[in-house]
Amino acid sequence: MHLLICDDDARFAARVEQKVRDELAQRGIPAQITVCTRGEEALATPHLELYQVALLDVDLDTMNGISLGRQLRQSSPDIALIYISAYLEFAPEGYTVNAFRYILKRDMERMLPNCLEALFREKTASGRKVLTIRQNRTEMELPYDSIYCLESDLRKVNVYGDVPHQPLCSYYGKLTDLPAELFENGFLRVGRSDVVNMRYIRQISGYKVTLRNGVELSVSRNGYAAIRATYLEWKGQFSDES
Amino acid sequence: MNPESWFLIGHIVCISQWCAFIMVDYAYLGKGRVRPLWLWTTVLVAGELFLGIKLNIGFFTLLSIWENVGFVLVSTLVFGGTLAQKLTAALINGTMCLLAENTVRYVASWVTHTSLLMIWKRMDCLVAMTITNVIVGVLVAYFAHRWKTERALESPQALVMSFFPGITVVLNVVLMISAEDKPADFLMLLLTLGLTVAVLIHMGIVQMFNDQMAQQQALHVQAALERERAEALMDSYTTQRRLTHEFTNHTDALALLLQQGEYEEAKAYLATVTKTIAANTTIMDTHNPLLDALLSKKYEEASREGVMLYFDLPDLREIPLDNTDLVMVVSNLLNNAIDAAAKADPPEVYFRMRKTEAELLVSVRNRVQKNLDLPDGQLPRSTKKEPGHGMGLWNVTDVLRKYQGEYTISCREKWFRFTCSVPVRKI
Repeated sequence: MHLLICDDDARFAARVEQKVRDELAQRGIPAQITVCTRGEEALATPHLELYQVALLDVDLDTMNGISLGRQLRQSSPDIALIYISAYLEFAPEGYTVNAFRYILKRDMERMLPNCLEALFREKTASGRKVLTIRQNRTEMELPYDSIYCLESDLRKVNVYGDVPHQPLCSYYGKLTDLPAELFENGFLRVGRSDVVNMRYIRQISGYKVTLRNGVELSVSRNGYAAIRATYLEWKGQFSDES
Repeated sequence: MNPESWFLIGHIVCISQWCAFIMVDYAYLGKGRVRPLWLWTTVLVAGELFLGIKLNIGFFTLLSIWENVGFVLVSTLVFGGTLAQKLTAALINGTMCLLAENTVRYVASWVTHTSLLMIWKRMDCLVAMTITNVIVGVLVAYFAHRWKTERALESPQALVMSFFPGITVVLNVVLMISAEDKPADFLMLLLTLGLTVAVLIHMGIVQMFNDQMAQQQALHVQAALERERAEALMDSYTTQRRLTHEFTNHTDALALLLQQGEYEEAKAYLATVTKTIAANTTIMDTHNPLLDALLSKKYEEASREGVMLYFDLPDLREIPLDNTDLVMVVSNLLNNAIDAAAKADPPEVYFRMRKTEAELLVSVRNRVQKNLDLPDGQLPRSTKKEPGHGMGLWNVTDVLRKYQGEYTISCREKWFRFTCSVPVRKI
């Protein structure tokens, strides 16, 4: 695992490095750790696209840690950002980087192990986020992120993406046969014949779900309250609309 | 009245009575695990009717009293609530049924000069009884629902309050079974009406007491909130004073460095001072001073309890809650979460807020020792015994109602989640 640590306090950065090494060694994970004291140095790290985790200070000498995080994301879109700072500043631009955690420096020793544990769990789980469709002896993998909704149409299931009414694919099957994992990853059954990706819901009101691509789907009246509650809980935990 | 009409109308009276019981149960106990409710309550009524016909229980007999006792107890099982609440609902139903029945019976007997044993054979009396059952059922259900919603009376107080209706039930049973084959005399009429009036006055007193308790609890909550807010701001103020004091030392040191022409040293020193100041005020900055002070205080409290509290917040300069309500929501949610997480392993709490053009989202997740049973997303009951405790989430939901917000709670895989949203445009 490739990790990047950036803190202008070199002694503190070394402490973080040691702590991370200990934690990874305990889990038997080989680590390639790069420690920097300046943002520019971090951005100049070779093979930045290989890095999976960055532990950053918010208040760096020559650069803001938040904008550093944003620039790191450009090189490595899936990089998890953990901010370890003396002070947690949730500025307007702060949360748009969607940091994995914010930790106070004084509590680094106590909180970092749990934080890394949660991160490893999430990284392990995130490796399987595709819907595998087997049909006519062929296998197709659709990333969850690319699916807006699934619709049952007689004996077929149509899988829709961002373009309305043009299925990404269709296959013979039933919505009840969809893997449970799909529903654990933000998909919600809203009626007899529709499953939607909550990430792409614009709103639920008047017994209708409106998706971000403008598609409207009917919501079952019986389950309406439960569907709204599930969506509210999901939004509270995952939505990052600014 | 011919036997067929008597059979038919007698059973209509019974059905109206059972429907009244179900209305009261639903109003007082709410939904439980049994689904769908309409089906099971229909099955219950149909079953009771079948049993009554099959065993030829008859109407207004000692056996029919036992049949009704069975019904009021069994019907509570279909609904939610605790055992104490179920027993209270059964007592309310018992009192309501006997009072209504005896009052109608004695009044009708006195007015029509008909024997107490023969009064039920009159069509007009049975029709009056049916209408009374429905009206009284609706009224009692309304008051039961109010008591449940205000939930000011603690269990022991409610138990003491139900002592008098309990005695009334016994007296009414005595009245019912001791009825003789002659019209009701004026004394018996007065006694029956007196019992009814006494119970109504008693209910009025309970209602007043309940209102007073609700008011006291609201004041108690308000005082606690003010204290919480004052403490948070006081902590912040004390820190500011300490920093102001330290600042004098820093400016002295800087002046000295500048006098000596050591500009680079001065710049480096200034950088460290800036960081120290930031780290020593509140631990966070959401651009909402009250929230910063409050969250910093909660963070310290969580640290003392060994709980890891993670924040994920946006800029909270403008939020659709006023200060008092903000303190109410944040304090209660975090207090509950920290208390529960302190007993769990690992002790973690996640507090997340998001602000969009349409709404403010607040999500609190905390670990729990074991999964809580929350049928139909109902709020969990308090485990604390002190008066006023366990009201935290109720108060939060009251605030949300005020702002037309919505909430949801769940508990699975040892994670308790409370999520709510407050619309921005409706302020």
